[in-house]
Amino acid sequence: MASAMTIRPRRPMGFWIAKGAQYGMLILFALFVLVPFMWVIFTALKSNLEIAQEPLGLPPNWRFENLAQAWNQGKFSRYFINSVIVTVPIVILVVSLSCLAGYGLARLKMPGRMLIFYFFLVGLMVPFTAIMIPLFYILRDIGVLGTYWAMILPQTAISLPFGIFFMRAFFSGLPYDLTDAAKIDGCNDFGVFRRVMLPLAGPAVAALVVFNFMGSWNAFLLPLIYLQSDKLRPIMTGMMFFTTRWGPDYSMSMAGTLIVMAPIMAVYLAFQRQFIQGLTAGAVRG
Amino acid sequence: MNRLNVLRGARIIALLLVFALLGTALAQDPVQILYWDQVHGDEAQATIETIIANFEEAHPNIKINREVYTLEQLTDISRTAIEAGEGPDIMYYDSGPAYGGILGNAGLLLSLEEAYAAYNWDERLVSVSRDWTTYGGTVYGVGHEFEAQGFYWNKRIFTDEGLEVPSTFEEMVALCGTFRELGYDPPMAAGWADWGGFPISHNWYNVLANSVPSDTVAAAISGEYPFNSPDIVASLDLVVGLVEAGCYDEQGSATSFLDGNAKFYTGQAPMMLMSTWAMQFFTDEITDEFGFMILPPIEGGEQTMIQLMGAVWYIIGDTEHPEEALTFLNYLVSDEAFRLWVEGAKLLPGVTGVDFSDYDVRPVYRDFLNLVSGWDGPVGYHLDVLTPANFNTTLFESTVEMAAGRLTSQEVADRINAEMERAVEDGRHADITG
Amino acid sequence: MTDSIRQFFADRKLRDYATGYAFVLPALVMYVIFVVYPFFYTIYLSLTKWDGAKPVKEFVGFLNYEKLFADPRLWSALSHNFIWIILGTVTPVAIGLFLGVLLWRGVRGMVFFRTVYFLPVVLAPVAVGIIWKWMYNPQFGPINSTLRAVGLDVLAKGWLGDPYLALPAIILAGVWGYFGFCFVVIMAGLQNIDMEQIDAALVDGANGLERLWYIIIPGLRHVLTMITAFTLILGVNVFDIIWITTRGGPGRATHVIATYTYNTAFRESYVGYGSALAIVMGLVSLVLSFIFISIRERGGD
Repeated sequence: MASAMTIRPRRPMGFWIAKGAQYGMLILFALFVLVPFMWVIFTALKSNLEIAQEPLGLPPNWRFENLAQAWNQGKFSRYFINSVIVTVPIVILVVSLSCLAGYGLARLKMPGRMLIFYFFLVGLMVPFTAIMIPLFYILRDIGVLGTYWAMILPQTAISLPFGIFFMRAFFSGLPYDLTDAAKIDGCNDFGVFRRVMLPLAGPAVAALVVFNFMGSWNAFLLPLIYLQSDKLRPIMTGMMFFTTRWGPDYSMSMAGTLIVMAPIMAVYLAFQRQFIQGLTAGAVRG
Repeated sequence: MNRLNVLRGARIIALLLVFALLGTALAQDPVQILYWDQVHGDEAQATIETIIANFEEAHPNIKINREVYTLEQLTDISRTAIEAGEGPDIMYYDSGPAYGGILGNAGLLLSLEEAYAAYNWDERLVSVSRDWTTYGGTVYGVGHEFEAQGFYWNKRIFTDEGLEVPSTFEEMVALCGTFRELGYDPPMAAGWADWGGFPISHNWYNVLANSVPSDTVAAAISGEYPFNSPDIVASLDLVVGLVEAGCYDEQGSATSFLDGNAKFYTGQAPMMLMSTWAMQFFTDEITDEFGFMILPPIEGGEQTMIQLMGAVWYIIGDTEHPEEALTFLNYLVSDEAFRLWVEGAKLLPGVTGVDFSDYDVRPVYRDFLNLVSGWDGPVGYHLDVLTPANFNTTLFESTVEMAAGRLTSQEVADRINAEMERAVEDGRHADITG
Repeated sequence: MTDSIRQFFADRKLRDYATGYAFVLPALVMYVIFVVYPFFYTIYLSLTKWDGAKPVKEFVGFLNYEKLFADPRLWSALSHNFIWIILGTVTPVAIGLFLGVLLWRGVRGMVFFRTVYFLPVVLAPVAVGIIWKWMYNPQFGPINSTLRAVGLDVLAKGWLGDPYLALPAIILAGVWGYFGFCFVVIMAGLQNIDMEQIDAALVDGANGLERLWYIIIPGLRHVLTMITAFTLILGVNVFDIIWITTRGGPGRATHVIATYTYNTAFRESYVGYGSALAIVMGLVSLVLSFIFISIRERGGD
């Protein structure tokens, strides 16, 4: 680095062409991502007549009132609240149960430990579609259909295999002398877990929180089948019902989409490192 | 002995208390009725809101909560929602084994046998209201939206261009080419995007009804006559002919229903093949005047009008308020609501014996009213409200592929025939041969 | 009784075991009730003829499976999954690799590009579907409007309504929502590649393609198998984006196994047959995941 700073040779022409091509490509793909967003925003802030007359350009009048109208017509406040009500318990349940089981399977002695681990691992391979049909009747028979539990329970359960897999891998990687020291100080297993291991698991837990938050916030098929009442409907199915109902009303449907996207995108921009780590947690080894 | 009496007394007092509490609760809070609806045009929506407001004024103890869905959405959620105890009290859904029939046969709907007697519906409603909502021998629905299928035509364009309304099917086919030459969009412009193969399949019902005798069609619907018979294949070939003659918009299957209709309203397309149901979308902003006609006769067949019940009201089996729901339902088909349905929503309720000569409606709607009341020719079947769900799915999929040239008419016929056989095997078909 | 329990807990080893099980038990209970049991229940249902409502589920043995093999809709749906897996893997990985190599040595605005590329990844598939349904709108959508604005009217298609274009069009939407993920993972993998090797190759006169093929791709082997495994499973499970854009249409052109299963079981009420379809999907997923896990385990050690 230092040598590059001190000696600045004249760049040959080829360097600048390559540099230009490099940035050209990078910007091209950035536009590929951004232009659809731009059109969503433009469409959301036009009237339908303006869309028909000038589908591409900037909104001639920036109709921010469209957002308010979509918010009210689409009952988005209720759908947002419903999404929070189901997502928070799911994330808490998945993360705490995964930490417990992941820790148990990584560090505690018990017969059949690997067997149990593989048993959970099989769950990674079972797609939701393979269990969605009887799950409906099971949830009905235990009487939770028609409550938020109809989403919380199954979404938690299908998220556990990955959570356990992930937390077990994390806890396995921690050094043993930490636990040994704590045990000598008189901690029992739970004490070791709570006082020593859990505080170290911060980044892994954060990744798991993001991963599961996104998973249940974005879930669509599960609430489509199990959360039928409009009173319980979360944001994703709510948005689907809103945009297909107002299908030909493009400005309303894009305004609704914008309302749903904006908070997630804002949170992402604020915490992008955590988001990227959380969402790629399964693919990038921690 | 003594103790038993005391217990009994206590029980009676407790019961009385409960009733008293319930009574006051009922007096204070109106009964909440959840109503799932699929009425869509702006004016039609305003009309149903008015009808509900009038009803609530007359029945202050009942509150109607209306939620609007599309037919596709209702098919997605209705069965699972009702089984979950999360369904509505009353819903406006399509008739036939593919829609209400699935719910009725699953025991999820309230039998309306007693209500038909109590409210004298058999006399007041057209007979198909009962016939087409009877599943497994029990009537579950009250038919509404008496519809016919045919062509809307733009009178201004026809006059300006010196065009003649076609009087035969062949003229109709030729007209598609004429439209294109004059720079207009074809008559089957209406969007298919929302419904896959609905529109092209509906066109086929028309062609089928006009080229195959209705007894034969009825036998096919009842599973007693194969759908891949040569005469039915020939009717599919006529639809292929329409496609080849340029009667369909190339982008129709990606265009949404209302965008497709808009091509007609704005004069881009001089004709539109559609059910009379679409009258609800003719707003005052549309200034052109339209005519309505049914499919002109096909050589060798008799001109046949397809009539159907659009959607139907069902009361859900596990409703906690059957009385109130029935009261509301009876109001929806009352004389008082009738004028609102016709003038406001442009929907023709399936009620008999109403004189609508002084009603304030657009000429195109009056065309339809006169056509229906004056029709003495044969009446054909609209298949998908009579055929089972798996049949419909395959039909809608296959006709789209046929229009795209990916399937032949014979292959379509074989596919739908296989689905009908499967439905018959499972007892999911409607027996309309009687 | 209490004695034996006391004795049990007095035994240190047994007490340790009990603690271990106590950590695992809550997750295990949830998992068994809501994943394992339903899976076996699906197998049972797949052997019956049931409409979801009748009190009796008629046992029909393997009849549903016999019908499956003769069901062209299943094969067409599976072939769409297959296309989705191939195109939906190769394209975003190729884009991710390309951008990763471009950004490898760090350029000005690195954080900006990474933030932008990853942006669609945080969106729900539902939102991606709605956005692209609008993009592809034949009359007013930005794609056709742009084509018309530059005089390329002939290229303005009814994208999602054309049986030949609909599936590739949805896959493109999926790629838009997903390539940022591949890019970030590949970037992470590139950090582990030995720079000296590249420099040595440069000295040896290796050109860009040779460096890519002989050094970079082998160095990313682990990362690439991971991504492939991920996209594979996504490709088997894809539902949301298709249901939002085309519901499997036009015709059968975009039906995949998940949409077909949902349609059969919940919309047409063929619960038994739908369960058999679900089992087929489970099997496909099981086989692919098994490959994924064995690769992962091998790659890790």
